[in-house]
Amino acid sequence: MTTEERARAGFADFVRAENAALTRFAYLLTGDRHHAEDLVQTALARVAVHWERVDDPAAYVRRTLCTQAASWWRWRRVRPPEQLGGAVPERTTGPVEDPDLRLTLRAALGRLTARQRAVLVLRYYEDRSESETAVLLGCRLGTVKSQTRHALARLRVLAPELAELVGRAPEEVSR
Amino acid sequence: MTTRLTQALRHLADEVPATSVPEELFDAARTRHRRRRTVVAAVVVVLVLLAGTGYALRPVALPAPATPRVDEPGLPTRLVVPPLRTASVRESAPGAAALLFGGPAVRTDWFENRMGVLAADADRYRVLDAGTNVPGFEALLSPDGRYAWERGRLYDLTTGSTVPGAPIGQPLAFAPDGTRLVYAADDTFTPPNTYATPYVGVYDRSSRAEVLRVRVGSAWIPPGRTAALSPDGAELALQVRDEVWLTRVADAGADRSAEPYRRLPLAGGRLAGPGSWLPDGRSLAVLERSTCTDCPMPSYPRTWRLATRAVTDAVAQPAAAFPELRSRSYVQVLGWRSADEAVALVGVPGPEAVDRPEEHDIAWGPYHELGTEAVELVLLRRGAPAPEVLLRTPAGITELAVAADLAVDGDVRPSGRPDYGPPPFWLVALWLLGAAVLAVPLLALLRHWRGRRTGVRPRRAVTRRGPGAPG
Repeated sequence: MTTEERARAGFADFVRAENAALTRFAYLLTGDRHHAEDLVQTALARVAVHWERVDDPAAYVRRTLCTQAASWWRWRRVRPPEQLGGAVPERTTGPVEDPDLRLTLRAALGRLTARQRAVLVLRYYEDRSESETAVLLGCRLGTVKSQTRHALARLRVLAPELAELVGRAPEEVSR
Repeated sequence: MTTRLTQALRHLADEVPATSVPEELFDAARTRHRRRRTVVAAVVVVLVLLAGTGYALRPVALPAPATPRVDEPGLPTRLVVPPLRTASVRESAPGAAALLFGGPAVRTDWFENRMGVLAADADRYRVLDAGTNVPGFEALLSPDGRYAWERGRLYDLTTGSTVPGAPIGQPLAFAPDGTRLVYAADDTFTPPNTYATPYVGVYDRSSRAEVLRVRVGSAWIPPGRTAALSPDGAELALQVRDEVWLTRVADAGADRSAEPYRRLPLAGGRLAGPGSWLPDGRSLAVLERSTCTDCPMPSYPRTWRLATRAVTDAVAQPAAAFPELRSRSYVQVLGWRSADEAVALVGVPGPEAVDRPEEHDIAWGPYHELGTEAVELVLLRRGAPAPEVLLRTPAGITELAVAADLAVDGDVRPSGRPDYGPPPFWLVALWLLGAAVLAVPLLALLRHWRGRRTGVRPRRAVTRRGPGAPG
């Protein structure tokens, strides 16, 4: 088996193992399913190019997803225009715990900055420590802390009904 | 409560199905990356070639305006040695020149054929690759400074190009008005040690034709101070052995040859150079050589005194004497401010110079006196106790030709900041090479830093990884 064939096989294994998790991660970053799929394909294409030289493909792809999601021009290009209407949003097919809460959470996440969303997703969805989050985002530890604090505070302002998720005071959310 | 946030986020994310990843994504991404890299490399190569071509074909500095006579220029107060990066006359024309100079400081191990040119109106230094010719002897500057002439090539310093049709032969002198050039046909050599000049010719620059040819038998005509054209360019004074031959251009026959109409005995004197004719055209300047007893350099007692003789009978004219030039290796009269004031170039011998007897054979050469360490431009005034030094070359510049018009007028301009012209191509190539040498470690550092940020190892550090172990 040649080097190229080994890389192709390794990449295929990685995609099979990580695709679903990466898509969910991207979805939480963007709030849009199609945008998430586009991001995932872009990140996978990038890691494919450097496959032999990437030590941790999963981390690399996640970092790419974060930076791409935070990319202003990309965000502006693909973000669908926000429309207000009386129609009820399409009901999702995932497991239903509290549909209203989920919708509220999704809408509130969409009002955060890309960096704040990335911090929240890494910290509370991926359950990463602050230092891991700082490494993945390529920023300082203090930035992660402040972004987390700001993100939670903004969620409280945007959606007070999420108080039971994010806590009522900044001190209460420290991990 | 953060546990509930985690659960809510997971519930929110669980509704999204996995992305559909095309099977050919891996190959397509890598192929696209290679193609982009190839295109970028090609673009870089094309840009470099375009930049190099653009530089090679860049417009050089505009040539100085071609004026028949210099107007506001002057002799510089300071002469410097042009550095290696000095542009050539061909690359950047300096304009009418004040000085043409050479010497060990100008010629280097790498550029042993070059001489320096200094413009008349500003401190524009250029170099002229004109063989191993000696400025002032084998390479001459026209009186107006527009032309530099070396064997077979006449450079127009206002354009940087050569004038077609220049005579092939050893330059001897420009006419005072610069329109005619006197040259010696190439020497013939008879073993063991006999050189002869077949003839001396006069070339007219305006008609681009030879207008006079004087055959000198078996005599040898060395360059430096053996020929002079009259102020109107109509008569040639030529030193042939111990005589000065006077020949009229108008006497030239169909074959352009003419016999001298008068042969004046020099009686130990020597023709004084291209400015030997006095402005009235009725007298010639000759140099008389003697030895001094109270010389500035006792080891070099050679002494020169300028005298004038009538062209009719070579009789010395009664007048106050010119000052002696003691311990000087050679003298070339460039012209006259008046009948009593001559401007001349004078060789200053160095400590290793030897005062040898002057003989009319090849031993007189090699043209420029060996051991000369500097050249002075002096004003010789009748009755003055000593010559007035107008200019002296700095250390390392031992050969000099001066635009005679400037020397005669005596205008001096203050020297400013030297301009050495656009950088030569080899220097630009060195800069590019240096930039590349600096860029390589910087790029390596950048790649290393970027790799640390993104988690991508440098290409050289790639190790094989099993298909099942992506991390």
